[in-house]
Amino acid sequence: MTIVALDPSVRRRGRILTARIRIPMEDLGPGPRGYRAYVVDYDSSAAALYEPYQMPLADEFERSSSKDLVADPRFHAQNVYAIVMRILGRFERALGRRVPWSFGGHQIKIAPHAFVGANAFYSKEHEALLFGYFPSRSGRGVVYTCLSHDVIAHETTHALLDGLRERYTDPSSPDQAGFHEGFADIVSTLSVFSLPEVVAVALEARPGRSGWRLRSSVLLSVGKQIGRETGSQCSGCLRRPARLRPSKTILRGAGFQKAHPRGEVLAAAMLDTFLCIWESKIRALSRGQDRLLDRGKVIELGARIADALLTVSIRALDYAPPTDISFSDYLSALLTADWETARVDAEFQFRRYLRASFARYGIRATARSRHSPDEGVWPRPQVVLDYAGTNHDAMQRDPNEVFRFLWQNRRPLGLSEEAYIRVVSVRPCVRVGPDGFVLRETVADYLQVVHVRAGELKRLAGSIRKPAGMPDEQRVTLYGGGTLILDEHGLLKYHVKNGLDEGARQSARLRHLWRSGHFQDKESPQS
Amino acid sequence: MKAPAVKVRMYDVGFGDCFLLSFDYGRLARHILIDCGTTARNASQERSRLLPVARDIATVCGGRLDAVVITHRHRDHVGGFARLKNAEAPGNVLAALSPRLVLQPWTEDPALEEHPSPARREFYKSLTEADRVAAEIFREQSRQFAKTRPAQFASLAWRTFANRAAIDGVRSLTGRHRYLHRGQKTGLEQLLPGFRVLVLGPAPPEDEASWSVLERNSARERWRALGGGSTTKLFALRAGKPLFPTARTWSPGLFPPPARWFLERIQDMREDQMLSFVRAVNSDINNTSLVLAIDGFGHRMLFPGDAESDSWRQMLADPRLREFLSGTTLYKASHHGSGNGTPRSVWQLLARRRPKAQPLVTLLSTRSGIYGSEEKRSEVPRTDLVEAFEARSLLLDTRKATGRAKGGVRYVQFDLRRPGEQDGPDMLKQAA
Repeated sequence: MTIVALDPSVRRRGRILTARIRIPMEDLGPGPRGYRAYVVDYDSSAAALYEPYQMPLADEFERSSSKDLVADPRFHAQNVYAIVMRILGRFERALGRRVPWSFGGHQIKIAPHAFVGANAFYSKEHEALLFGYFPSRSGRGVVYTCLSHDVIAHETTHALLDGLRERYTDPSSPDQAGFHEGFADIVSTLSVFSLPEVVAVALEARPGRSGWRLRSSVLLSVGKQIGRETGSQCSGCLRRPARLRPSKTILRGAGFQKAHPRGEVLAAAMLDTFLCIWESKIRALSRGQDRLLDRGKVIELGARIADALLTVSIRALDYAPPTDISFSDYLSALLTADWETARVDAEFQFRRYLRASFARYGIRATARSRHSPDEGVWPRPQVVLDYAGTNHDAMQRDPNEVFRFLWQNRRPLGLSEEAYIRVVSVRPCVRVGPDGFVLRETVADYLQVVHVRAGELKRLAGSIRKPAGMPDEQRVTLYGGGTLILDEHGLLKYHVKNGLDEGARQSARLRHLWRSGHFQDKESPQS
Repeated sequence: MKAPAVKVRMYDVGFGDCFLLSFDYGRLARHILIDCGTTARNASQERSRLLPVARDIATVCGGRLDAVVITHRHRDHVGGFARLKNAEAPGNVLAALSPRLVLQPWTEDPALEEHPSPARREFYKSLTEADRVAAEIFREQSRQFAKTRPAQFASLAWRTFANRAAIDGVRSLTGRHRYLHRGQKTGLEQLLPGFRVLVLGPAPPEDEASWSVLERNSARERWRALGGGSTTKLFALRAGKPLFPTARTWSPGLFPPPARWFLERIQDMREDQMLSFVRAVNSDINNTSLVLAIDGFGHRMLFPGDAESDSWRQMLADPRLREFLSGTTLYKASHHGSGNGTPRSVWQLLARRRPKAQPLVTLLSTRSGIYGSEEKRSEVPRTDLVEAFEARSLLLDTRKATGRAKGGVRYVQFDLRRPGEQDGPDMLKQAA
């Protein structure tokens, strides 16, 4: 199926750069409408519903001109549908299971021309991905966000992440606020770069030896066309993670406390990883040769690295805590995800490069235990657990069985008995490593919530400190939670948790929320 | 120096602000007007309500105003300055009072477009464009809003539509015009001996520390999200003109059933989006309010215009300002008593424990039933905020005004007690 490889401004020999991708074969209804997505081409600004597109089996846009691609709403419908399904497919392949939408329904609606505006967003309330359009700066033509591959991938990732980790939009730390954006940037950029067509154009951007200077390629920027058209100060792009200079103190900077710029740091660290690996492999290829390399090999290599890194990035979600995620937690999750499927990573050495690149941006893995099997990898639980009466088969699918196990082991697992505890999901997974071997795991998440008054904080376990200036009667909600990774026998492999009793983390969260006005604007003076 | 007698006359202009401060030094008197505007159904009603008020101001100040303070550009604060060529309007009456000094926030400086500071030019451009786009969007959608959201439509329309006549009226006032940001001198100290007058807001765009406490630069981001270009281009794509003229479209009555649920919601979403944009830009304008503190002779009078949460957050980020605000003796409730106008953190600071003989005085210029809803806890004035005002201060409310003047003018007037006066346990007298 033909899609726009990046966005309509990126051309090759004058023609919009397209790519042909494969998505699961299905019997599509008009829309198109498939088992997970439904394109409804309604323009609320014009109050117009375009006739739904019945996609034929043969791709009718393979040889279309650039002008026709931009002018035909049926191609726009195909483009958004295909890219959404591609990203969904990547998530399912990486995680080894079906991925739910957060809203409980099965088909996310996609409106490719939803409104006038230089914006696109995921709306849980409307169960939809909504794409805007706006006049071009030149005054000739219209810019369609539904033709920007990276924007579609970015918004689809928000929707998928929301389905996997609903609590990541809770008010928490600057890291959690930045994580959604950063992760969406990571997925959109790596998924775009997993297309050989895009890698080829990136190499052409700077010919000759300076072709290796991929960091400066504008293609590494998310939302390039849209950023340029809206006059972003970022000289032609919305965000430039690839240009963000590494600094160990960057996350302490005043300009990086808000969601978008902070997310850029996470994306920058991941892009740095990708580029370092690619550059290193290119150097290895060129050793002993006369510096002329097979361009096709370099392209294929870049696309393969991006694709493999994307798998690890997505899979890491299963090894991350379900609440209050920090960038350091995500790094440990990345390292663990890779460790589990590639103990000896001879080809790409992801763990080595992840640690080094993230460290350049001041991100160190949370896991620093002597029980960690590899540096930064989560350690195995060092407690004795009681499996008596546990139904290992039910542990792979039944939240009540998992809760029984949690409650039975609440003390060794460090759960607070003062909190409300709920098992959010239980998901069996089948993952395939690079060596072809299959890894079967069950991923179960649980949440802990406790509502207290600020004056009660000091009596809770963990010595949580009330922020300066917060009155004792202020109501606060504390969150904790954990991810249980069970092996194929139903035994606990990892327990990735953010405890209610982690005083430093909870205190920092409350302090951040108090200072940013989270409490102050919502309460009336007398409550 | 002997303390002057200070009177504050708060006019009942409905949902709006109009305050006349009079300082009697014995041999000389000074009169400062802070805002003059209302919320009305139309310009004619606005004129009929404000003209008698303007005439009363002229009477009280003896035909000469010393200073005019315009806290921000919304019509319910500045509408009274609109003039008419061939008829008498409140703006004509006020202009004839020839104020010596006219104070506005720096965001109203007509020279901003050419300002040497890029930060100021950028801020001005984004705020002005967002404001203009909001008005255009609102005008375009007004028929739809009036049908689907009538309760919100009328009052929001009043604030949002261009207020050119009043803004021009202010600009053409005689006297020295000053456009101020936090920390700048106002020039009022020369007019009010013994008092210092502090500008507490708005913060200038160069003050990175102040802006960094906010979650976002809302006006700038909103304007950019709309396409950043001129509104003309934007509205070349507006309602009624499909993007793809040759593509087939469905008639509204024949929308396919599986899609109908979504279509209704997406239309609702769009209207909510547009309304939110308009409300948010209104809020951004509110947060440019000139926040003045008049401090001296044991009084500390705080007039924050319609400053909302963002503005207060910027002020409260400075510990010296927090300390200063805790000594307030008279507080003009921001934004007509809305919840956003007086966040909890601000009220806790203002309403700290103080001697019974010197309670905090709260001035509330408002009218119920114009904005918001109790159901959504967005009503203005906010019920529990008013209760807090009553519990922890001496609340003077235009809705209970007992002062009368010619032309049906209603007002609340009180005299601030001179230090040392022993005329009874109550610090203040409310003139009947």
